Amino acid sequence: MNTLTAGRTRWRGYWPRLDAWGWSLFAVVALLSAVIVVLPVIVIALSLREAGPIEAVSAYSLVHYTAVFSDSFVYRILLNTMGFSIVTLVVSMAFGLPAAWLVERTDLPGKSAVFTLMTIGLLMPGFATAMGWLFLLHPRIGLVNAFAKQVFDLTEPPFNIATITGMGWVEGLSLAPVAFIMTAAVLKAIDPSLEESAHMSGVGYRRVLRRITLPLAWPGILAAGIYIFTIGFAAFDVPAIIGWSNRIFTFSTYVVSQLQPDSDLPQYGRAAALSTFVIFLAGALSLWYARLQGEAHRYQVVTGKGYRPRLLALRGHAGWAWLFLGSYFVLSKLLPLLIVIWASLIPYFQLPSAEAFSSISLKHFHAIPWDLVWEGTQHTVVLMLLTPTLTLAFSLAFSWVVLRSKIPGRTAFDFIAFLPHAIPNIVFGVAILLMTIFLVRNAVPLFGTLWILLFVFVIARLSYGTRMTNSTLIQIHRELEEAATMSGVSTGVIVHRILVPLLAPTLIYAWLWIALITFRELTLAVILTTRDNITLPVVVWSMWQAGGFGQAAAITLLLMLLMVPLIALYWWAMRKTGLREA
Amino acid sequence: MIEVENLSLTYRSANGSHLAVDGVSFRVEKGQFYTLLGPSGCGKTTTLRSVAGLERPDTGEIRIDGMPVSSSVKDVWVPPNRREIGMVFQSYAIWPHMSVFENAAFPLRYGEKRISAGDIRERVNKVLALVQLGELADRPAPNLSGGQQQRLALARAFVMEPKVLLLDEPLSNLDAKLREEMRSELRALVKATGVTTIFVTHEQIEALTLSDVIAVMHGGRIAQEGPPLDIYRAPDSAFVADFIGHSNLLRGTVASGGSNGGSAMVEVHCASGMLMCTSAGVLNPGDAITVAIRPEHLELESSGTEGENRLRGRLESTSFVGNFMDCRVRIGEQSFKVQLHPDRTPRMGSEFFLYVHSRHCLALHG
Repeated sequence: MNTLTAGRTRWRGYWPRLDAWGWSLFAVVALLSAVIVVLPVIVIALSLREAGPIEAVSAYSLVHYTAVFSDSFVYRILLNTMGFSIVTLVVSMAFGLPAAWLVERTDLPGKSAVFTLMTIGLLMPGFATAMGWLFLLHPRIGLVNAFAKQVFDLTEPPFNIATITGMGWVEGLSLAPVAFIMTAAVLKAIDPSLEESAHMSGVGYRRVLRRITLPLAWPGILAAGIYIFTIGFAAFDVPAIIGWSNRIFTFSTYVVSQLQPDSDLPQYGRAAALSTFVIFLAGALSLWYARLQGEAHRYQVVTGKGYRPRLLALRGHAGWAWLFLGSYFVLSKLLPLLIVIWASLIPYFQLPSAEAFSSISLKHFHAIPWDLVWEGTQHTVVLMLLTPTLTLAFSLAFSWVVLRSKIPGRTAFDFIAFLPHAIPNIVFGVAILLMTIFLVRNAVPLFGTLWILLFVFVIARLSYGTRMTNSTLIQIHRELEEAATMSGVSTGVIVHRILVPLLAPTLIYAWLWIALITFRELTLAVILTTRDNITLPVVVWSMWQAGGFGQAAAITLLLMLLMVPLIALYWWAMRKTGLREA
Repeated sequence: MIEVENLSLTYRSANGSHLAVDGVSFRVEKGQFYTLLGPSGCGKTTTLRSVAGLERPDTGEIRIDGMPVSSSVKDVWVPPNRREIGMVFQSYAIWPHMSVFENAAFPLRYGEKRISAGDIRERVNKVLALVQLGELADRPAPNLSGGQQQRLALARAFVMEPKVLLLDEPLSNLDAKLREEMRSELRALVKATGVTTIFVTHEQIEALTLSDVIAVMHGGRIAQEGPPLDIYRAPDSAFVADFIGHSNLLRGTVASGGSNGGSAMVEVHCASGMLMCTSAGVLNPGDAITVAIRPEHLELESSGTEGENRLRGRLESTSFVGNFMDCRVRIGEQSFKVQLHPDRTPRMGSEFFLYVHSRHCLALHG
């Protein structure tokens, strides 16, 4: 019994007794949480600071807010952004919602293919889709416009993608998989017996859909809508590729243009003021979202067994359904991809013709600044390996503290881990930029390093990571860990020998997803990249900005080609784990 | 030896607090099989988990072989992984990513008392043989049946050669036949190793057949403690009388007290009539009490006259249960449960006399 005496510690009041490992996990989580909370606070503080972040002393006032909100251009941009987000929402729902209904409530053949295509489709970089559509519908060089002018003898181009509606259309196509995945989950969660009892009451299918299914699904659909609206509000890729050169800005592109102006000095104060505005806007939307989620739970009916819903027989209409789905995949993936390939192969952009085909060459590929691409690839690969690894390590720590540690107030950490999701990523980018310039500039030379990108990528993916680890850890019976404790092992051994092996399928799946998202990440990278830490997507963006469209297209293709083996792995993991949530 | 003194534990959550264990004290002698028995929510599992160290009591002291492992007064806390307690969980908690051998070897490989690989092999094989899993050592754990998982959980608890074994409803997930088999095996195993055991269950049969001592818990307290036979024969509260076995409970008032040899005899006035009852405690005339009569002690007589503890009633319903006939006899407002031999098939609606010996008629407080 001498171990009993050796192992004694003090009683300690209200706090649970954790061993050294437990406290270390808690310390990591608390530190990271503090950073996440401090970042938006830095933005707010700097938005009130009159002088730039580099000056040591400064007065505090609302001068940046007056500057921002007396500028009529800013109102234009906010209106633009609203319009862009609304079009995005409408387009993504128009494709995503019917697709979800087809998969969850009809006997559509080949459903799993829809899921695979939708999930993997989400991985196509937004800037690739945007390039494709720009080449298609640009008023001057767009293929469709040029073709229409030739055939119908028009003087004006019939389409213009470089508008708010046009950009919203492209963003909506990119986000339709999100609408699909979220609403399919909502439909899946509805107890089919609620619909069946309505059918048994003698009510027809359409009326049940309208009177039972839709009202039950409504809170979930609305929540998905708010989520997509928020993504649209902060979207960068599409407005940057299509809008920037035509001076059509949305919030994100405008903030970046303020931070990296062509001529003037960076307007840190204005960027901070705009970001603060968005923090509060996002906060309001998130509160609404949370309330709707609560309401969605209110509707949840406890079922004993997972009944399969009655599936509507499509019969002859299955063809139409696939035509609808097929046209979505063509419009959102195939067509843009083909156009990007075309653009990378011809010397200057033109309609396909005998002459154009004869001019096909690898000229753009030869002209690529290979040393820059090589550097960008190295950086991107390092980030791609480290970001998911660190994110998931931290996520596991968060989940453990929130679900297992019994530390009072632990749910606050769960809320904090959700913040990078609620507040648009770009704001975190701005916050970290300001932090590196202002706070730790001299102490730690972070600016322009890969570590700063790694840092912001990890924080940005923490919400997704913790959602994944939370939902899996909840399913692991607590007694599996308690049995290990009673076997005399420490928390470290429990995490290493019990939790990680049991969570492995989820961790592998989530690792691959985060890796892929990191590979194509542009928004956050653009804000924090210099010549020294450039990533592959930023190389594409800088080529594009400099007018090297063909070369940008060529690098985009290379980037997507590099993603293929990883996507294949991901597809394998998705099938293996049976997970299909993004 | 385990001593628990004045243990209290309150669960606090956003929805308020709940006093799960309310001043529980007991003592388990070395090698004893001690059972905490009670309905769900009575605090038995919380008490067990406090002994394990998986819950943190608010007050009280727990000593293992005289050494405090948790004491609010002496400011002592030994973390659960240092208490050297073997524990079997309700879900068995068999790690699905390991083989049978790896599950059983885990405490020796990574626990407080690590030993060499050769010794591990020897010890694990011995303990697996003890629970008759020797042949399945290399099998992946998820491929075991419920009963085998249960044995493996026991093996894992025994492999550390703990002085204390805690069993949290280990039989509740087995089907009825297997449960009966495991019951006798469990007691044999525990007695063979001489380990001091606390067993938690809500099944009275398990408690009665396995235990040296039973503590019946109710509302976070120990209602009664004693050897199985004593608890069954002489419950000292209406709750225990009804929870252990079944009892017909009658409200009544003490009419007069008396003495008849060792135990006190009292006359009790009930709605159904006058009953001579045995009382363990001291009762005074006028006390409101509950009379408990077990169904198997009631005799159904088709003829005779009303007399002491002989009441006239009407047969209301019968249902065939298998080894007995479950009957309801109505006397006034009260419906009595009576167990008859399955050969007897009394006619429904006919009148009978119910007789119970005063020795089986227990007058209880409350």
